[in-house]
Amino acid sequence: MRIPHVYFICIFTLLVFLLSDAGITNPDISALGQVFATYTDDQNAESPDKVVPSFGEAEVVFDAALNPFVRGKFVFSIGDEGFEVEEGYASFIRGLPLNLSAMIGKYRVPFGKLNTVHPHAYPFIRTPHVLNPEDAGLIPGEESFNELGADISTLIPLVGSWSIVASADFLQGNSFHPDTSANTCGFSGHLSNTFSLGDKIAADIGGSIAHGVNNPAEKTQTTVGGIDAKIKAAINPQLSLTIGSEFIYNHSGIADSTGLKSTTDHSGFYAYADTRIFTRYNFGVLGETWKQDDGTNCSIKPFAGFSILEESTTFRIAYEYLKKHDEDPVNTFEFQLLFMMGPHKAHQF
Amino acid sequence: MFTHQSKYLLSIVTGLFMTILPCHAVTRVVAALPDLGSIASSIGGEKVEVSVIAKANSNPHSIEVFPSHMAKVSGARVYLKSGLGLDQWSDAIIDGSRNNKIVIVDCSNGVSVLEKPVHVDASMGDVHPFGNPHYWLNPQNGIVIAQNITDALKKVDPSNSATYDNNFITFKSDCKNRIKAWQDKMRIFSDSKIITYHSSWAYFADAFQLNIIEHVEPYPGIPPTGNHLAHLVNAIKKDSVVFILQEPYFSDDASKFLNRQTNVTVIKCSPSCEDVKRTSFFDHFDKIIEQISAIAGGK
Repeated sequence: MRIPHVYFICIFTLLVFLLSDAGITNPDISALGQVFATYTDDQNAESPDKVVPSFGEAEVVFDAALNPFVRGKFVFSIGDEGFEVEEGYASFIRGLPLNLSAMIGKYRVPFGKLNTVHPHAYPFIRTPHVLNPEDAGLIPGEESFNELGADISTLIPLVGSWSIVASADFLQGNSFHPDTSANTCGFSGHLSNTFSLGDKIAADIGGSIAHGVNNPAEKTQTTVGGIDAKIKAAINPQLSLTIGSEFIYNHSGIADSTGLKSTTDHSGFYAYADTRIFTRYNFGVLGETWKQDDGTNCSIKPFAGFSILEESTTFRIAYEYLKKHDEDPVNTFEFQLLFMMGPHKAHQF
Repeated sequence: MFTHQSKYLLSIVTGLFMTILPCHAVTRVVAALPDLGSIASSIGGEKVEVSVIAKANSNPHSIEVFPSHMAKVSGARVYLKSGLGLDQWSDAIIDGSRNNKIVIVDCSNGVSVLEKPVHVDASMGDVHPFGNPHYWLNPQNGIVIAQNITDALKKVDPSNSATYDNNFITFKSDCKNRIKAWQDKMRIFSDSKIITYHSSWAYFADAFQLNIIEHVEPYPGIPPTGNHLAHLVNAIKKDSVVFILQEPYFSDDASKFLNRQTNVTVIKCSPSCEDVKRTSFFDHFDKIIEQISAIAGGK
């Protein structure tokens, strides 16, 4: 949902004015900026063989308790395409029966492990191709699987440290198709098993499924399934190793111009290993492979990062070797400066 | 009526079900830090079951939130927050636990807060806007924490109020006696100049009249620069610094460098106790003071 600049400024000004005059606790406000310098030998890129500086999307986050039972959160992104309400939702964290919590609004759908996480919190630069709908086209959405909907989730403690988090999302369905006027709906579900092995190892293994209509006129549908796993080992107080991976499978119905229907099946997989030292330094590698109609693509991306103070100022570098099935290999070097002001809280495992 | 296999399966299912069912015999308490948990064990005795989120060797400023933490809190009746902005991660754990009945106790209530800044911004480093949050390192504050925990336990389990009151009186008396003994041992270091890596030890220094003249970090949360280390070498020589207190979760490269340059003793110890047993809070002070006392001959 793109909002013209003037409306955003009016809403922002009104919100700040109301909150500052309302005599209530103001929300936590954080702002995040990122500067990139990219060099690529991809001859299809806008400026190949040059170092190209750019200012990526900036994010402004408002987060506050609305009352003892509900929290509200807005994430606005500001980039070349204008202002966008990336997320805006109310979370009902207390007061519901059966250990349930709910979320209503526009949000990153709990599908897999990384989709709910904003890219600034990844250990590497940029979203993996496999999870980028505009790139591999495996999961629904534009930049991420992000939709207007309602989520209901529960946490079930089992034996020892083993617990299950189950969530179900009823979605507007526009992530599955570009026609915003069509009256369709979508569904997504995620089941996550978390457990600890001693004091030093935590693991999370999950599965997701999403379903929606990809062509309202022809009523063809898409089903996406995923398996995700993450394991983190705290080797000592200064050193930790995290390994994460996801496998995504997309089964879609398509209709050609004559109305003849068929199905396509695509899949992709990524895995990364990240070593973190003193919480300030990290290095690792991300590998991906994904199948499209006529071939297999792969990418390997070593990365490293350094933070002056946690997330407030972070420098990252990455090199990517990308081989698409029908193109020459591409080498890309990227530098990123991330800077964040405001209260930043711990990211969940 | 039942086959052998179905009886076996039924017993497994029943066993699993029993582990999921909340146990009402004891009050389940989750503490953000082991020190708070240890005091809760002293006050609650057999009436409570205490578990902890942060471990002794973890940096309490940055604990990663795991769903297993939320699961732990989902069945708890009391959550002991450290407060003063130290354990902001506790909020994510409490919210994620979906526990409607939990009583949240800010254990810093009633503590005389040190280093409360008038103005805070990020140019000062990772400064806590509500003051230094490492208050449990003054054993006198253990009594304040114990009072907060006693009040909470009496609220959630009024039938055992007398037990909690008695345990509080015992804890308070034990703590006061131990404080006297620790102060006697530490008297030799009274007004000694020391350096600490992070500002974790302000309350400990206050309790035992130690004089913290510098930190290895130039600003809270910022590792030392070459210039700052050169400044510290001069300060250690000029002010006859007796020892450096170093937390285990920070790099000890700088402390080792200072030791090589000046021969200053580096004492590496955790600001938090090892466990949530009744004696862990006291054992921790015993251990720190023993480590410091070991260098008394060199003073």
